[in-house]
Amino acid sequence: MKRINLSLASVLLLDASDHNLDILTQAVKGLGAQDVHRCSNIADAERVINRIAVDLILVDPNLKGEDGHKFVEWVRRSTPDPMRATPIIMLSGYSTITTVNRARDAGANFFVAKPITPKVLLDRVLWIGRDARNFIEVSSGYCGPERRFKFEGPPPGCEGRRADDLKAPLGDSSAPNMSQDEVNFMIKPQRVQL
Amino acid sequence: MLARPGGLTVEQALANAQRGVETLRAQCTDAVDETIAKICALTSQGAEQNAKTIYALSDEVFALAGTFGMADVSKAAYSLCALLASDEGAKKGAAIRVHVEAMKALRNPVVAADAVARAKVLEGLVNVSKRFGKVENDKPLAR
Repeated sequence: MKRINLSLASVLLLDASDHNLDILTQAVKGLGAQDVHRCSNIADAERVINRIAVDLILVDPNLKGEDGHKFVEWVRRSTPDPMRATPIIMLSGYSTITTVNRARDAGANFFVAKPITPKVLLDRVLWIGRDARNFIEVSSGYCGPERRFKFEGPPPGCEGRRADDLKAPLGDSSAPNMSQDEVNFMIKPQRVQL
Repeated sequence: MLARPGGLTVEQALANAQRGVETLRAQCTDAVDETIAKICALTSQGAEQNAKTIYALSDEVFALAGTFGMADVSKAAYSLCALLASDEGAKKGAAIRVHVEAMKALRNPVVAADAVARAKVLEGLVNVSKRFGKVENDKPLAR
C-alpha cells in the first residue's frame, strides 16, 4: 500500500484569501504536514524563507497588489541552495494559457488550476515526488526545473544548451556496418560446443 | 521527503484532508454569499472603475464554490472572470450585471434545487459571454 510521509515537512502557503489559506491548511495538514506557514503577502513569505528551510511551497500568483510570480523568481534566483530548488506548486483561479506559461517561466514545478480539492493536491504532491527533471540555471535568466517534460534532442539546426547535448554532428562511420549475424553473436549468449 | 518511513497511507491522508476541508464548508458557503453581495454592491457603484476588485472577488467565488461542490456558481464566477479578462470586458456593465444576477440566482434555494432552472441560467451566461466577452488572444484553459 502506497504511503506518504509529510510529518517532518515544512510547507509554506502564500495566498491573499484567508478562506483559501484555511482550505489549503486543512488539506496539507490532513496529508500529514505538521509545520505549515500561512502568508498572505510576499514580505511575510520571504521572512519565512529567510528563517527556515521549507520543503514545499504552494503559491497563488494573484496576490492583492502583488505578483506571486515575482516571489517564485526570487526563491529560484536569490535564495541559496538547496532552498532555491524547493518544489513550488502554483495554484491559480481563473487560468489562461498565458497564466500557465508565466508560472512555468517563473520556475514553478507545477501549475494547478483552482478549485483545489484534497485529491488534486495529493496527486500533485505525489507527482512532484516522482518528478525527475533537472534543475536548470540559464545565464540569460531562467532558473528552475527543466521546462521540457520530454526530451527529444535539441531542435534541428540548433546546438543544445545541455551539458550532455552532442555539440557536433555525428560523422560518417569509420567501419562497415555489422551484419545481423555479427550483432546476434555479440548480444546472444550461446552455449559452447566442444 | 515523501518516502520517509512511517507516515500515512495515501487513502488515510486523503480521507484526513477531506475531513479537514469539510469542517470549513459552512464558513466558506457563507463567504461565497458575502463575496457575491460585495460584487453586487461594487457593480452597482460602477463596474468599470471597480473591475479589478470585482475580478479578484469573482476569482475567489470561483475557487471557494468549486471546492465545496457549488459547481454552477463556480462556473458563473469563472465566466465573469473571463468576461473581465477579455478586451474591454470591464466596460460591459450590462454583461457584468447579468453575471452577478446569475450568481445570486444560483444561490437561491429554489433555483439551486431545480436542475432545469440552473441549466437555463448558465445557458444565458454562455450567450451573454458569446455576445460580449471575446477572449481572442488569451484563450482560457478548458475546464
